[in-house]
Amino acid sequence: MGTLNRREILGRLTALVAGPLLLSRKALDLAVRAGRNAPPETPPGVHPPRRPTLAPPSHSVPRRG
Amino acid sequence: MKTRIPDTPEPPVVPPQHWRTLDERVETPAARRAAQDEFLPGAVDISDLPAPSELSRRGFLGILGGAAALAATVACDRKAQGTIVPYTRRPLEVIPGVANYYASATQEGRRVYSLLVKTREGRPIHITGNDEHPGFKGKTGLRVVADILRLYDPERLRGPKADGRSIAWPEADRRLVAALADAKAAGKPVLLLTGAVASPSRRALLADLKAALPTLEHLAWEPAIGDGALDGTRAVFGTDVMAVPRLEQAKVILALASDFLSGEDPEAMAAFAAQRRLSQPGQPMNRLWVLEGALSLTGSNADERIPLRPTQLAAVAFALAKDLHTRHGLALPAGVDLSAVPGGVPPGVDLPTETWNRLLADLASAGQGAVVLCGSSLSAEAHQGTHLLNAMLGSRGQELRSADPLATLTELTTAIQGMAAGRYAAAILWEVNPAYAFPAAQAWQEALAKVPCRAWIGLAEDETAAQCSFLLPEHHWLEAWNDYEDGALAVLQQPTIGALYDTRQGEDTLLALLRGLGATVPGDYHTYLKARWQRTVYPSGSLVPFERYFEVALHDGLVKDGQAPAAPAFKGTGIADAARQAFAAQADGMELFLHPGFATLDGRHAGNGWLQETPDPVTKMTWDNPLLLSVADAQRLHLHDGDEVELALAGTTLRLPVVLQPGQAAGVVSLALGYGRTTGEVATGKGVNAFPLVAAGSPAPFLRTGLQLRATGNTRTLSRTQAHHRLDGQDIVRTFSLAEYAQEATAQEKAAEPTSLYPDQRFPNHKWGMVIDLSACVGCAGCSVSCQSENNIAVVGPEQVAKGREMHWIRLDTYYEGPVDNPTVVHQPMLCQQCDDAPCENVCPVNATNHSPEGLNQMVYNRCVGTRYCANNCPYKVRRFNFLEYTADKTEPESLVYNPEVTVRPRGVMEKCTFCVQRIEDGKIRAMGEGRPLRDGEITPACVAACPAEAIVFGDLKDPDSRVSQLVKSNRGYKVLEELGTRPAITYLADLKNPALEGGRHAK
Amino acid sequence: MHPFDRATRFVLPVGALAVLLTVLTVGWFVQPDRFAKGYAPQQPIPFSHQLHAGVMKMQCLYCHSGATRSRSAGVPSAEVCMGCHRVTRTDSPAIQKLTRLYNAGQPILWKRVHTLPDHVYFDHRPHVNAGIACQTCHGQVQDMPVLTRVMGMRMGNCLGCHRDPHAALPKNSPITRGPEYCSACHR
Repeated sequence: MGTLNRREILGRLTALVAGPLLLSRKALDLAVRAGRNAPPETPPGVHPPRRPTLAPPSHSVPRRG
Repeated sequence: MKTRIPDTPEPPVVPPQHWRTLDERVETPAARRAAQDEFLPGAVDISDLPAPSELSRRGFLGILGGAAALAATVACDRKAQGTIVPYTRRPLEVIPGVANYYASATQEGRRVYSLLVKTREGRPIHITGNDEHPGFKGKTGLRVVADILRLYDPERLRGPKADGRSIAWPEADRRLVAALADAKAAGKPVLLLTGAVASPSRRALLADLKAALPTLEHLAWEPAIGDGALDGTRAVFGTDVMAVPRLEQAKVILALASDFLSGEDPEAMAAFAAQRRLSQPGQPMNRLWVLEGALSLTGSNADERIPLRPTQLAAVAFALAKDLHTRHGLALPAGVDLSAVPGGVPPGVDLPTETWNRLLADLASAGQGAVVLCGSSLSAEAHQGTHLLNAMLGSRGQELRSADPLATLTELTTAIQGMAAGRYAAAILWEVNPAYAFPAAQAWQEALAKVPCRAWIGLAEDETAAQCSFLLPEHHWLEAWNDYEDGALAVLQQPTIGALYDTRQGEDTLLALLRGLGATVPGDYHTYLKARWQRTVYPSGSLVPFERYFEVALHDGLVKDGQAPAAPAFKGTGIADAARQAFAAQADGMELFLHPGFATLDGRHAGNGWLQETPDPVTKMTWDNPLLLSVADAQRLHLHDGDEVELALAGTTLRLPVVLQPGQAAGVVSLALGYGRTTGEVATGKGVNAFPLVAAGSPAPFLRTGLQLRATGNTRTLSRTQAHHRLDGQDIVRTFSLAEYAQEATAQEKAAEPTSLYPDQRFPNHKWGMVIDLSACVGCAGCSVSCQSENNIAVVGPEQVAKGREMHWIRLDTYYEGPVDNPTVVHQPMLCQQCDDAPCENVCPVNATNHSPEGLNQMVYNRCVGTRYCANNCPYKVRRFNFLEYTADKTEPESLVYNPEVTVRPRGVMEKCTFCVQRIEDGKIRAMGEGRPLRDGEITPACVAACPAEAIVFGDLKDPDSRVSQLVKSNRGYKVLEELGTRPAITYLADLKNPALEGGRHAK
Repeated sequence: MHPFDRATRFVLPVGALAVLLTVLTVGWFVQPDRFAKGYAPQQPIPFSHQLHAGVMKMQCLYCHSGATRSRSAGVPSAEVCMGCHRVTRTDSPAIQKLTRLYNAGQPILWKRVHTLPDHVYFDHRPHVNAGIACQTCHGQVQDMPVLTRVMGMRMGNCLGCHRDPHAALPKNSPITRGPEYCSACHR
């Protein structure tokens, strides 16, 4: 610490204060604004990844219980 | 201030009575240290973690702080939890969260397995045996349990291909039909090569195909079944016959290199074990004699085992027959001439006369209660001798069933020569892989290249598919329809999930071909099968409408279908020749014994990670097939475990590691088939392909002589678990001869329970306990595979297994006792003992493991931070740590096999057996919902449900009427490492052996 | 002043204060209750529990039929809705949208309101079968035009009731405590 000059100390202080400031702003933002940016109700027409389709077996008879 | 501890002399090293490795047997310092360490030296080695980046420590801490704060901001966002999507139309039988069970079935080789498949949200997740089947009674073989992985194999071919390009089914059909129609018009033969046919409907379909295509030549081939078995059976019965062990009535069993306890025959295991669960001395017990070269799982359970060269076993069989006739008065069947056979121990056979006489006496006195079983790797003469013995004894210990003919290697070679000569216009290869499994693979490939139209039907592209122009992927059996005959039962296979990909059941492909050739057949195999059932299986004059009858049959999975067909009659005319051949068989030098792999069978399961990682029950090898040597031979050749050798035989050279196997006969080396595959990411590079060593055209293709071994000077790391997780104590396994059991049972003193500083645990409602009967346990590892399936246990791969990082919650520890060349063997399932005073619970810094009021040691994954202190404290070494991320990159389809009731553990978390707590809780909640108390046996952990020998019993120790409460009081009962005061909830019942001779096989 | 004194007397306390402020600020906004409680998202189809469960007094189990038989109570399939709405209120645009989706076989992507983390294996069965009213945890759903999450459903909520459930249970219930051991919910 002894070797640091004024400019470097000021830089670190800024980072120390800016951190909580930015974080609280982000936190507030999430708390207040999340409701408005909800995902759309139907999925966009993106091609779904190639995955197997799970279909029920036809004419198969399950056990009960 | 430093405390001075007085020097204490090193306690004398006492070699353990029960040892697992040759090092343990003499208690080398390394082995002694391994007893005190939880993890192998390599296990906590971090060199396989990702390499550190350029980041400095300071920079890392800075980012850590910022990231932690930011993570805290976003991680707890309980909003935006996504969507919840119900069905549009819910199928009535599906309740999300509730499992549906379907009865189904499958075949492996000639064996039929009647099954119950558990599905969740429309997909199968767990396979057990069909409880409605009177023989299986809910049990099945472990390879079948593991076969669920193949449904979700990401390497499955997802649609038909022609000449390397994807095509649609109609076009594939059109082109194939055109080729077949051409062949038919030109009168050229078409080769159809399949596996064993065990399905009457498939048989009918093939007959229909033959009628529509008269030049069809069908060969059914099973690489794992040696020609000796086929030729020998045909010689004495005139037809192909399956000898099914029926050991319920067998008092004396003589196994000639027959591994009938290997895990693929649950009925045999159940019947065998049923006579070994003695509760009092003096109760009847069966006796198993095993004569074999390599130590098999069956041999490890023998009461009397004599290591002999496999080539000598045929002569032994005939000599026994001769002596049973001349000295014990058993009549010879008509036409049998044993005049040229000398009595007594055959020359060159290392068997003491007293033992021989005792064996004869056992067989003769048991009479119909004796049975002789012959291993499929042995020669045709050995099989004939075995059938002769059973006929003489009038044995009721086996059921002889006519079977569909299988092709021998000689017959297959003839077909291949025909292919090479350009005889065939087309070849259809269905569920076979001759490019891998045929001994002369080169000849196969060259011959197949000469066939103009080559079609392949299978699941994932393999060595054979590489050469075929038409690739027609088929459904997995879990997606398909079929039926099987199982003695007097007709067993049904129904789909448990709709087809995942654009595949088509193999039978449907044949139906399409039939239609193309002009036959009038139903559109799909389901209809075809139902129609056949209505014609032939459905009882005429039944008052139940057929639809209802079929529905009930599907529900149960089987129906009784008339009488079991009459057993074929024994014809003794060829015996004299066979006997002469048997005695003429000379073997000098070392002989090689080839056998189907425990995990892979004939290579078909080489891509199954669960099976590859399940340690072989005898050698405890994973992911590899080493050459097994006897200790004597290894010492002679100066070889040690892991040394690499070059094996040269008849033009084939293989480089592979060796393993020294106690109990292996001197002069015999053995090697498993089914490894060394070259297709498939999981299978490639694992082990060597031993099929080139099989001698086509020989009466015993799997027994070879004239091999040469040469050490190469290299060593290989073995992924072998035999030395892993050594327990540190003296009284770990107990095995008694019947005489010793009689003494033990009357002995009064039972060691007092050690005093404990901890207050007693209180269990107000239930106290779950388990009893494991070592006498019934055969060591097949069925429990381990079922546990893996139920609890989403990760597969870690051979490098990790070599470091001791295998993840099995229940493992089979195999202990030897006595001389190295023929020890007594005991298998012990080892799992979390759910100790009342668990040493692991006190040391967790975050309380992630603690005790439930029902006696379970709970493992809470979300709390665990991975200090591994608990594993360090566990004396049973049953805790498994996720050293690496084994599951994060698993996506569909592989992730579909997971059980949704059990967490999939990430890296850094400890896990262990939970007694299937998810099943316990579910059972309790169901009973509570139905307003009734729990019934004994209602809750079964996966291992309990899977064990065909019913060696594991689970229940409520607070219920005095429960089966487990009764068994806990057994005079064979003991707890492992009881002197440590852990108070385990698992009681083991000592293993029993029934030796024939005074003093037995125990070197006490 | 010696640089070391400067550090100890000045930078360190400021730094510690900054960290403390960060933690408190972030923690305040991160309280799961704050986010989860009161969460009332707009749904793709404006289904009103107030109308169906309140005014028409439909049983919870009529739609959420899994509650007695499965770990999850489930959300009704579109077919359950269409059971009535084939004929009722077909003039409403919401119903018309529902019908369109049903006929096209397209799933309705309801926004999930009640979620628990993956490491919690909650089971509805013992709660519903013990006679605990749905409103105990889900609030007065029959008064909600838009479904709102009223309980944070944190482990403290669960344990609090398990330790003393008499308020939630019917009068003559023999149950005195719910499980407090880990493996009841964490496997």
